[in-house]
Amino acid sequence: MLVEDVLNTIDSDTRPFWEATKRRELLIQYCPTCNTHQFYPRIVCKNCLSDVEWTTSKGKGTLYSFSEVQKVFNPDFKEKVPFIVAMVELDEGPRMLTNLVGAEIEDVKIGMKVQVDFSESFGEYNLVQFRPV
Amino acid sequence: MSKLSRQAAIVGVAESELGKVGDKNPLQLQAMAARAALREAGIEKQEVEAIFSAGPYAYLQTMTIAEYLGITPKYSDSTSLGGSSFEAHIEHAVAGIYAGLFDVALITYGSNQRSKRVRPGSSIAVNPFEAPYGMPFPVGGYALAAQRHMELYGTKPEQLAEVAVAARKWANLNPKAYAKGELAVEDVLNSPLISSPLHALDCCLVTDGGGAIVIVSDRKAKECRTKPIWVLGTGETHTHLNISEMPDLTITGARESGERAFAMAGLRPDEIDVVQVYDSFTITVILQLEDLGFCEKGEGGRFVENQRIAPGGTFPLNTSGGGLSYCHPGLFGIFLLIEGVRQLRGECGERQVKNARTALCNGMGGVLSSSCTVILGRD
Ligand SMILES: [Zn+2]
Repeated sequence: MLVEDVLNTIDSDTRPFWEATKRRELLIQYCPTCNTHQFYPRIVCKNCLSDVEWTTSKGKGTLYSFSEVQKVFNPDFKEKVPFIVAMVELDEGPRMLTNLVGAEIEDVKIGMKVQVDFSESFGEYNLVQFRPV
Repeated sequence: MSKLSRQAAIVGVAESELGKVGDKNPLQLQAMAARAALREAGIEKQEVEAIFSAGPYAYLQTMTIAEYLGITPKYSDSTSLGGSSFEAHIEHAVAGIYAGLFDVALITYGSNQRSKRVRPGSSIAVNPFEAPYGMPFPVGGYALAAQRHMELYGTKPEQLAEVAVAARKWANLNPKAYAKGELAVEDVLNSPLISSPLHALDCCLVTDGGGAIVIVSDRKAKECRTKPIWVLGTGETHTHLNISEMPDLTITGARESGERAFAMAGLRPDEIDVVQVYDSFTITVILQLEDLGFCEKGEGGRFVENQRIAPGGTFPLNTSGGGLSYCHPGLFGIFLLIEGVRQLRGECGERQVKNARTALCNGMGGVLSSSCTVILGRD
């Protein structure tokens, strides 16, 4: 249900991002006019409305915030509990909502360095998650 | 002070039945509240010229409720900013009244989400960049904000819990409140962790209920039965829709909406007698107190310590019991205004704040996404 609902949203804004996850690459967008990166993908730069280019993120960032989820309302996640929802600030600038995997909750600290992890599949694609460096 | 200040007055406020309403639908709840608010003001339904409404009860909200009530408006506004929609409606009504487009406006809201067992956020489209990660909506977004606030400013779970405890004490003085009884800081901390650091009792209620507000021009206010409660200042903004797009997890749009409202009213935070801020979660209150200028950024946790915001404290806050203990039918913003008006009229019985002359109501919607401020005053 969840996977289907999410993949049904794929359109010309987001298709390159999803295709890149099959190659274990995190695609974000770059605006050559104002020299900023953005995520999520849009048809224009949200800063200056210029055309944007796709670029591969280095996949490195900093943990901006996190929460250990103990109770979910969505049946798709009942078996995963507890798990860590995280907000990661990429070195290129944009922030992403994601999961932090491969970490014990006692060791998780805001400000810790993290890197992208594609080990969990999502339909025919891979999920963009992060793990401690 | 702006020329829009004191141009419009709230002359009628009412709730519908609250809590669990069984098989009553959201239109019935709004009709009951609207009728009570109009009767209180002494205004006939035929005099209503402008209609404002928001909420997931309908796709085309004002057309739905206006048809149900037999109103053919000349001004119609379904501005939908989540929990703060109704504070935005006040600003829009003031603008319309000042522009001479109408003299009498009706604002309504209703929900039977508890009786219908509607899941929070179920009317919101799937976000492909958030949904795969299982963040419980909306509590997980507030948890991320709380975690970062704790990291940056040393805010403690005990301080968050103080907000819920104070709300319960106010609710115990409000005959219409849903959640009553003793509540201690330890009870909040011992309630199940939902999404760390937020516990079950850091979260607002899920109830049914409806509300209505009648707002009129100064000319019309002179004909009404109630004491006019003037709109002194308003401000609105939204900074994002999804939590992943919030510019800074510890700074809300209340900083901007509040600044505009204070400027319009010509008032400072220390000149406000009674404050009603959106308490979807305990952290929401802390952030707004800081962003509205009642304390410095990062001081919110310490500000609420020792039950300062409870009955008998020096800073009366959310005197109805708030969304945490009075009612929370999905969107709480209209109830902030209803309580603010009643405090200024002096109608609040045991929970009345003595000599309250000014009130500030701040709605927030989405996941800390929209903020709309209304400052009210009496003659
Ligand atoms: Zn640009």
